[in-house]
Amino acid sequence: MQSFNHTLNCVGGLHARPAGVIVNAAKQFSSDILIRKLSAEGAKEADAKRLISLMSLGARRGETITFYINGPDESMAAEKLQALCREMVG
Amino acid sequence: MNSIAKPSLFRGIGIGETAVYGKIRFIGEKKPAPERKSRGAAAEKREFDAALTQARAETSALYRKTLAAAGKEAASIFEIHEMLLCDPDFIDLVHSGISKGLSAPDAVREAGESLAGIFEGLEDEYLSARAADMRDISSRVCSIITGGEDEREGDGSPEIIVCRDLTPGDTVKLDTERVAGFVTFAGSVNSHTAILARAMDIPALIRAEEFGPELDGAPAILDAQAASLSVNPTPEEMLKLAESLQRREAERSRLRTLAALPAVTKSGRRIALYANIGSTAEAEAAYRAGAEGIGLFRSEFLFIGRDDLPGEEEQFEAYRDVASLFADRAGPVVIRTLDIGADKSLPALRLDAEENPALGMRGIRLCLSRPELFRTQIRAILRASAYGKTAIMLPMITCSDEIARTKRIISEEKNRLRFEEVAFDESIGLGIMIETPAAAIMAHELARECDFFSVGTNDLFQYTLAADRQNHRLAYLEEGGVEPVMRLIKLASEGIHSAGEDKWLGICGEMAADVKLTETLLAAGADELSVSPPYLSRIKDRVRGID
Repeated sequence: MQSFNHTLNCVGGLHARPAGVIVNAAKQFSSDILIRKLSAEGAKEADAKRLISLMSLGARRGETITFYINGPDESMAAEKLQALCREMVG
Repeated sequence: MNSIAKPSLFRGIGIGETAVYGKIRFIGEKKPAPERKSRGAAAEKREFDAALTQARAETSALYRKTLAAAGKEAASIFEIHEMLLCDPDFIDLVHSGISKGLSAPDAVREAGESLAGIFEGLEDEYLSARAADMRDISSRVCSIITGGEDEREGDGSPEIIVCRDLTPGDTVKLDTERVAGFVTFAGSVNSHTAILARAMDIPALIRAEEFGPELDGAPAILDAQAASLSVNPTPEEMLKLAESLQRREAERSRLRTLAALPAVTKSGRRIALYANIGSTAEAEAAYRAGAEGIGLFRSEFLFIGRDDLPGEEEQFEAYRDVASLFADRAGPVVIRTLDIGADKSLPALRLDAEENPALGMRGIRLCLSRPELFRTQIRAILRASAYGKTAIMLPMITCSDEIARTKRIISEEKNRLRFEEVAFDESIGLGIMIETPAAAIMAHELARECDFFSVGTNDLFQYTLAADRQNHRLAYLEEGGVEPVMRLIKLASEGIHSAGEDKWLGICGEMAADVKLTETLLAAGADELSVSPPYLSRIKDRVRGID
């Protein structure tokens, strides 16, 4: 199991375009990839390979999401997704 | 109750700047498709799967159509639609509806509504706007199954489309020749509909005060700037609109004819007319205005207003988008490397304060002192060059050593890309800005090191006159300052043109956009003029009037 945090700095939060980028990247791996968002109302989880699921997290700029990656290619997936998060802006 | 002909005014949020006249055309809630019983889960699933495949194909066709008509940003919605159409959450929900005994269209509608409901419940305005996308894709799949394409007939007169919320799919289908504008009671400035409307130059009023379908067919003026819809307008209002329409139409048709014409003087001298842009969005405006290329792509927009630095991927994507947009135009996309200094600093660079930033570490001087920053940008530009003719332009050059050092970096990065088997244009051009008098004076020697030049007249003026143009007490130097700058440009031109047949000189500062100076600049030897998109047609008009 791999996990890391990412604080969103995209202007529109995890809106359609960045969510689409994550989904496309996540689909390349066979590991299960879960994204969890903690907020005052409690935790919400989404499957990183599903756009609708990810968008309905409603993650906004400044909020922190946590990736949980579990499976045979988890370290590669973690590396790739972390790089993607770092580059994701705008 | 209001009588039909009574003037009434409805307010909302205006998108665009224009005012238009048209007859109101109500698009009510979509007619529900005829009820249909399930013909068995297996048959309904097959029908749904087939419709899904067709819907994906239609969506990707819409993507290409919008990309060509309105650019990448507007088109990206259809990429998202395609992903939504492939999303297992959507498909599973429809399948489970069918298993429960619903017909395929009913199951699609239910799934679409239930997912749209989730988005609507989100606090974020941008994300809640995605509900319309969810409804759009489900109604697309439905209408494929039921075979019902809603035809909108009309008498051919301009129409103002009124509805609750236009889906992006609807917006693209609108015939802009006949649709004068649209009014929605819902929507937001961030909705894709609003983005598309802007990109396609259709005025719109969103979140308008609600009115009923009894106004269908009534004449109205939609004024995006006033953010209002005037139904049954008074004669005075009509007269005012007619005058402004006439002015706009006359100017528009003149400019339209100009966009397709070359910038050529009466004696047949061809001038390259390029655009200055500071963002990818501006590139689309430049393209539509008929720019033959981009003479100055300021890369600073990627760096400013943030605490970190843009990575290679992010830069590459921005450069690539513009390069591929202009791939079918004659001229290159000239990307100027980061032009930043202590006067317009970036938090991420932590630059030292300088006593005199205008004469300090800025432009190429800064980039050469920060090789990692510079190399990232060079690599991003090189990679973008595989998608359309691209060139690199260096700001603030004073001596040939600066060009030589940059060329070493470029050649090393090219080697790395070759090794990594990443595509780029081997013959990518290299040019420099002429901003310092030294560069103008030494242009002949500098021309041995590069392919082209572009005069940044604002800086050349400031450095030639030793006068800060922001300092209003020095305004008296303005008028007399033009001549010395012109002489430097002429000197540079002679030096450049005697160094090689294919070397060219452009002008990309404010002077290039001043119609009073166009003739003098051409006489001084400018081969290219680069101006912001709104000036393109005016300058072209001027060039075509010169002997």
